Amino acid sequence: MSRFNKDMAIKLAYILMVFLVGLSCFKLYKAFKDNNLSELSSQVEAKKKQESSYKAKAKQLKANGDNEVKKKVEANVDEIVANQKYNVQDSINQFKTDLNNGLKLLITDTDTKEQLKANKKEVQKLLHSKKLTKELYGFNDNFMNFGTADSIEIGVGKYSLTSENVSFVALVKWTSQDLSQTPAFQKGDSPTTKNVLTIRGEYNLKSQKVVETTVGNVVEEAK
Amino acid sequence: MKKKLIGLVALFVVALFINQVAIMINDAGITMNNRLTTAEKKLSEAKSQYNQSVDDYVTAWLSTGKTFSDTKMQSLADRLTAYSLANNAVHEFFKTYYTFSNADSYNAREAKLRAFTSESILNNDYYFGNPVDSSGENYITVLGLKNKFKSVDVNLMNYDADNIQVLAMAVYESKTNATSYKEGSQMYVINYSRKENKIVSLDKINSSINNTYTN
Repeated sequence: MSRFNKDMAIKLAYILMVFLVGLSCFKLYKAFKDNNLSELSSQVEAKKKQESSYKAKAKQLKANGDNEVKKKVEANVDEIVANQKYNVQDSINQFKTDLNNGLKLLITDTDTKEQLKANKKEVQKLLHSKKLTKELYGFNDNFMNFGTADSIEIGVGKYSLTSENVSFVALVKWTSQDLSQTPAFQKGDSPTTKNVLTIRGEYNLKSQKVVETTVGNVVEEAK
Repeated sequence: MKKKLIGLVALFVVALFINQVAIMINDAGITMNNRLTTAEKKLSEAKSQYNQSVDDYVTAWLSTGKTFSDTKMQSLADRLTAYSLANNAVHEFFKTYYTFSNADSYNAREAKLRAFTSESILNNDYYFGNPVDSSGENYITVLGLKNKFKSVDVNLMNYDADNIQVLAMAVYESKTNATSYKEGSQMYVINYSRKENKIVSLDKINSSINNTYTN
């Protein structure tokens, strides 16, 4: 290699190295910029402190050992209740009314197919569940021959101020033709039977939808 | 020439070193970010646990018959109080009612329940009859019948100043000498008298539904 070429190669190598150093410096600058380690570290510490504080407060409250916390909560009950996302009590009462009306309509005699179709639509709205409506109507195509509900009783399970879901049980009683007749539930002169249908489920207060259900079989009322 | 080559190598080493430091800082950043994510998650859990504690506390506090000028608050407190009263009584009742291991403990239930159960229920043979079969034998002893209470799910139906009505699903386990423990459930409509502080009526509901929720 000529002397000239050697000098050129070294110059080029120097340029490359300087470029590499520059690139590394840029990476270092970017690493510092992207990772503010001291800031991140202080954030982690702050979160940990907050976590410990919440844990300590929860423990105190649970043990009822901290009268100050108790007093503070008692003094702010109105505010605590007012800050709820939705009014639990009103929502539950509305749901109970809807469910009651929906089940009443479900059991009610229907003379025409058109009326049945219209009822189904209304029942679905009132039961807050397409699935439950489908399941109940699916029991028997002759649901329209049920007659009139003797009683509909609805119970609502435990809930607190921030509950999103509440459990419920509905107990529907009605009088129909003897269940031993075939096909079941059809009108006729045969002896009547007192029937019971139980539905359990969960209602979501936020979405105002029935989110889970179990429908029992229709059974004869215990004598 | 030699000096120039040493200079080149030195520059290369410097570049490598700076690059390595950048990588280490990035790694430390990733670690720190992971720690921050974990700390945020733990904080969020602690916060929601605290909020739950406050919620539980306020709910329990409101369940003790408080009075409020605000009608909505009063309605909520009344509901929670009614639920709490009936729930406690129903739990106590079924815990005793569904727990026995022989004829003696079966018969002893009545006395244990007297404090919070009306005489009309205790005198009702349907619930507290003498456990004898058609041949006059005590079937608790003959079958080796044993019962264990598991749980009761209480659902509030109606309430006023005098009475509270609930729908309750009791879950229990039974066994005989010939079988191992099997789970069963029974639904009841129960009336609780606030004046007497007692369960005053108990109606067994014939229901095919079991205690598990399925979708």
